Amino acid sequence: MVWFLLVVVLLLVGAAAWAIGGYNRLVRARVRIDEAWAQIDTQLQRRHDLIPNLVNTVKGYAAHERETFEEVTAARAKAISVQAPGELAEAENGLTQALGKLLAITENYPDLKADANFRQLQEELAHTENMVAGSRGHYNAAVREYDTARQVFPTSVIAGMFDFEDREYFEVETVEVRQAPNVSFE
Amino acid sequence: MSAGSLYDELQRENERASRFLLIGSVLIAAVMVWVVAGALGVPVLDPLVGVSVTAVGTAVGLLFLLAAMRSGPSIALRAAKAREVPREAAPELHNLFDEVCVSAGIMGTKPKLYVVDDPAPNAFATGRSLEDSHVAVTTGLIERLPRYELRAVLAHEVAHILNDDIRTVTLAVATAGLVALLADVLVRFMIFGGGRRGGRSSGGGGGGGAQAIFLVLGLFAMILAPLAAQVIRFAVSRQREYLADATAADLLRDPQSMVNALRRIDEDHTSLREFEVATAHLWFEEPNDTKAENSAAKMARRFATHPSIGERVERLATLNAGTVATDAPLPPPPPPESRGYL
Repeated sequence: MVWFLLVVVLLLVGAAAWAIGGYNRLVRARVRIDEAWAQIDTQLQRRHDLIPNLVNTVKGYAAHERETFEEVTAARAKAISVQAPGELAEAENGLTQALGKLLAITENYPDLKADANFRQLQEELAHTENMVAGSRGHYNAAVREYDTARQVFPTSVIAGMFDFEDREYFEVETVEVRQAPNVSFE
Repeated sequence: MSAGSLYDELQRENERASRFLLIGSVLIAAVMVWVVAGALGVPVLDPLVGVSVTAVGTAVGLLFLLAAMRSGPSIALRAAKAREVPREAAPELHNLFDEVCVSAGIMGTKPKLYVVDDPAPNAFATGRSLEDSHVAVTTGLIERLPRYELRAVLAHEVAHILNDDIRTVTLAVATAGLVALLADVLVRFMIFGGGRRGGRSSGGGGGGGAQAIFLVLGLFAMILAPLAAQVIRFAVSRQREYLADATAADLLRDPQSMVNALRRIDEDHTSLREFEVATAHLWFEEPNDTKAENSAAKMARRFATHPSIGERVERLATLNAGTVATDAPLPPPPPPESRGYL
């Protein structure tokens, strides 16, 4: 009888340790997602901060492309105003498109492309877009890991018990400024 | 995705290799401890004494060496004459490094960035953990590689940190050091211990015969053990290069730049001016000259810590089948005036 009780107690302790381990794993995965999201936020902020400067510089050489400038400014304002990941991704993608147009325009102005300030901005923009892409990649990897832990047995049982909620992937596109730095330094 | 499963396979292989290194090197150290104890006259043929003396001796030895290795990273950095670069001195280099760190999710614990004044394009990572990690690049690398290829090399070094390679290499070096130390003890004992042994055996009876056998065993061990430790270290560090290449390409989703960087560095024949043979496994490209046709280069190839660049390019191409070109002409190198880094 004593042995039987001892076995039961040991089993209970084992089950509790296992549950705590699984719970901690899920919590850690969720914290990683939050950290990754904070990083995306920082990088998008950097992107938004860069745009007025970029628009002003281009304006100096191509003042009559007013339509594109307005489009970029409006897209930026919208991206700043929304919060939820889904809407934010949509707004940021709108901004990506507008930025792409702006960069396409700059191709027609050789004086602008030779401007030292603009070249500096181009490196900054390339860097910013890469930072956005990098933080997005890390965020999505963190969500994938959390999702796996949430759906795979045995942690799925604990996820169900403690209500570990669904997390969204963040699909935001970035402007290809790949060639820019090399071209601009020629 | 087939590339994903291949990548997982590589990662598992790396973990297996880590275990192999750990077990193999501890076994070699244990055998050495056993032989040394036997040569010193401890009755190690008795199972209880043998096992306990060997276990305690090995544990104490490894602990001592790991404690000594705490200063390993700073010694490696000093040996390479690496100097830390502040952001103001090299903003673009720091930009690239930030892009790598944000992709790896280690912006909070960014490794320290160093520059080595050397025309040979190369780089290395060292450290004990993510919190205490260091990445160094040569001025040659910065001058010769275009932006995205330089970023790929930085990612390769960060991958060594992420894959826990810096710690494993530290352990391997510690074990090799322990084995060398024990071999040294044996040598000293053979030279200076002979006379005393005679005196003791006259009092203790048959101990002398067993001791003589252990001395012969010790002679073999002395020759073979350091070699075995080296072989293990090399076998493991080659695997790690493949995985670091793959991790870097995956982190940045840019395998092409990794391939281009490897090919460009392969075409370059500048040798590092200064490096310690003991730190060869740290570098991005094998720092020993393995390309020449003379016998020294042939020997260097056999004992190389790194696989050939051709093999590394081939493995990356297989991992990213269809998305990378391995024979397209390389993009032009950066014009000299564009590198306002240093």
